[in-house]
Order: sequence, then structure tokens, then C-alpha cells
Amino acid sequence: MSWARGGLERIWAEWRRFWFESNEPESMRLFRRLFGALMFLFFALRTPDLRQLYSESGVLPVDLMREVLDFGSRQSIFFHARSETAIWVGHAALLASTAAMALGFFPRASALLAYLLHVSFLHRNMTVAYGIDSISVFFFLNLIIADTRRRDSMLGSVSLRLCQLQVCVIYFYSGLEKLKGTHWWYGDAIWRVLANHQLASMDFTWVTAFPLLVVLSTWGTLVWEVYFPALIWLPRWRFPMLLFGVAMHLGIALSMSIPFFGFLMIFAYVTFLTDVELARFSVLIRSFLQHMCKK
Amino acid sequence: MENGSGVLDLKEKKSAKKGRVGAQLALSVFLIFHFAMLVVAPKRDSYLGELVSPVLDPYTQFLEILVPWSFFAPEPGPPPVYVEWEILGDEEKLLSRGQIPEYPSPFWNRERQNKRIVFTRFLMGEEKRIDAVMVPYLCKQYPDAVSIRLWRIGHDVPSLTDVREGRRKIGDGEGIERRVAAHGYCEGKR
Repeated sequence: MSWARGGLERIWAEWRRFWFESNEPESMRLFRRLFGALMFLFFALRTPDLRQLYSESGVLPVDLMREVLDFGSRQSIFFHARSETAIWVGHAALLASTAAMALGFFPRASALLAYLLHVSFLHRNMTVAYGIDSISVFFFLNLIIADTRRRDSMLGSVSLRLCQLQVCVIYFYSGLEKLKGTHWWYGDAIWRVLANHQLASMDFTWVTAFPLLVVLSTWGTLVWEVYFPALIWLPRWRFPMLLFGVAMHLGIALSMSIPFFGFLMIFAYVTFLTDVELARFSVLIRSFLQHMCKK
Repeated sequence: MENGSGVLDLKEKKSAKKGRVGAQLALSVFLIFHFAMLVVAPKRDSYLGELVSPVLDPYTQFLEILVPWSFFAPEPGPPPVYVEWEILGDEEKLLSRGQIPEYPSPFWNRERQNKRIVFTRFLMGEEKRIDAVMVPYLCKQYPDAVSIRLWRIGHDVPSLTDVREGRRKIGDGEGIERRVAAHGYCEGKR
């Protein structure tokens, strides 16, 4: 029986170390700032469409939306406060809360407010939501409990782990779903995106001169996504996986005019860096900038 | 005294440790539940998803964490889609014509265009949506309108081989499917 007890104790110790003793305050602080700034910009850019997309005089009044969509248990402040003033006040509060997250001003309360308002806007008109809207919900939620003041914070550690695992879940399912697609197997899926004139940011006809590049980048993306959730935890593989991810998301951001989605994923990679690695990285960047300035 | 205070410290430490372990155990139970929901939610239609749906649905819908995570999957995105309309006045006189999303994008702020693309994909998702959503909206925008005629437009994406061998060009307008979606009357004007 003692071996079983010993085994359980080891599992419990590992579980505790993973979930409750892994806080990296500096990494989480940087992630929260970057994420807050990105979301502030993202929400600010929808200001001109606020009335058209979210108000009762816009394209989808609440009652009509309930007719065309199954709403289940979803809730929104704007189901109850339907006036345009409420929408504008909500928008201003959302901008203020994301700015506060970026500036580190009452970060957890700001994350909570931003989460509530973001979900309220999302549910108010789900027909205009896409990748970044969905992913950011998880990060707002996780950042509510992020504690960047103390390294030994239990909730801070949980927050960090949830952010990391969320990235893994996203890639895991995206990768497995792609395995069902014929174009991903055939090797021309990347081309199908670049040749979609509604999405592409420029004319990618020149890519046809490099068909092998299309095939390799398609299969590379597939393999990388499927294996990311496993390899990211192995120290030797962590940086190569993150570097590939940065390159891929920059590529998507530039070729498809969806920079916010790409940058959100890249910023989330900060949670995979320890505070020590982050410090080394910032020294590296500083010395590089100094070197460039001297030149 | 020294001894007594030492014993008290030890007791306090022990009770603090117990409290911490208790909190960790409680949090662990919640984390197992939460993480299980995160993992099952994208496969809501699976056997397991159906099995836990009485708990899964309200929890994930309320927190808005019910997402299928299928970016560019299983196929790399739908081809370009548009909804075209004609605003008709008395005796079917053409008042205006337009489409969503516009092409090329009229916005410097690309996010505005992205939202319109997503919205159009939503409209194309079910037959009734274009009629139910666009007719009342366009009637509001054009007070003189009597009826609205709508079309759904789907473009084809040329294959790499076709473009490489010069048979087609990106966005060449070939392979367009144009179908009447609805002809609806504005409220009280029939």
C-alpha cells in the first residue's frame, strides 16, 4: 500500500507544481499589457459601426436576432438596456477597461469589466464575431484571476496555466479538424486562402511560381498545429514551436488582413516564457537596439 | 515562554498549510471540471458532449466558451460570398442597387470589412436569413422603398494549377453562382 500512497503523493506534488506553483508574474504582466492594448485598438476600430451593428436601429434588432439564432443560455446587458446611449456607454466602458488593462490600472477588476462587456457585445450581435472575438473571451476570463504581484500566488499560477492550455486546445482542435479537409491533404489549402480575393490582402498570383512552397507550408501548418499541444511542453521543442507559430501568424496577418487575430496568438506565446527568459529576451532586444542606434 | 510561542507558531503554520491544501483541493476539483468543459465543448455534438450537455450547455454558453475551434478547417474557408440587392419603389422602379460586402473594400479600416464578410457568411448560412434580416433593414434605410430583391452570390476560387498555367486569374469572375434569394415587401407597403 505504501507504493500506492507514494505514487499518489508524487502525482499530487506534480499536479500542485503544475497548477499552483508556476506563476510567472512578469510574463503575465507583459501578456496582459499587450493583450489589453491590442483589444483596445480592436474595439476602438469598430466605433464607426457601433450603431449599425449593435443598436436597435441597426441591421439586427434583438427580437429579430432571437428569431434567426438559437440563443440558449446566452446573456447580454444589451438585451435589457437596448438604447443607443447604453450601447455607447458600454463601448466607452469597454475601451476604458481594456486601456486600464494595458496600463496596469486595477488590472483584475478591469479584466472582469472588459469580459462582461465583451461577452455582452458578442451576444448582442453574434453574426459579426470571428476568431479574435471568441479567443479573447478566454483570455479576458483567465486574466480576471491573474496575480502579477506575487510569484507564489496560487490563482496567478492557475491563470497562467489556463492561458497556456487554451492555446493548446485551440491548436489541437484546429489541427485535427484540418485533417478532415481534402485541401489540407492535397497540399493546396494555403493557396485556397491566398486565392480568395475577398480575404487576401494583395494579388498572390506570384505564389504560383513556387508550388512546392505552397505544399510545404500547408503540410507544415498541419503538422505544427497537431503536434503543438504536446511538443510545447518539451524544453528542447518549445522555442522552435513558438518561432514557427510567430512566422505563421505573421504570415496570416499580412496575407489575409486579419492582423488582430495573428497578434493575439503571438502575444499569447508570452505566457510560455519564464520570467528569466523574458528578462534575457529584453536584454537581447535592448542591446540590439543600442547596436542599431550606434550604427 | 519561548517554547510556548514556538508551539503556537508551529500550530499556526500547520493550520495555514491545511487551509492551503484544502483550497488547492477545492480548486483542483473546479479545474478538472472547467478543463473538461473546455475540452469537450468544441465537440459538443459527440457522444460525450451529448452526455454532459445538461451541464455543458448552460456553463459554456453563459461564459461564452462554446467554440468549435476550427479555423480554416476542415477546408480553408468558404469561397467569396456576397449578397446583392435592388431597392424597388412604386411600380418596381429601381431606386438603388448595392451589395454586402462591397468589393474592393471601401474601408481603410480593414476590421469594418472583416465584420461585413463574417456577416454575409452568416446570411448565406440559411435560406431564411437573407430575407428575414436584409429586407427589414434595407426598408428602414430607404423610406421610399416598396420592395427589396435579393440575390446570393458565390464565387469560385481558381485552382493553383489553373492560375499557374494561365487558364484562369484570381478574382476573374468566372464560376460565379448567382441565385435569387428573396423578393420581400416593406412592412405595410404590399
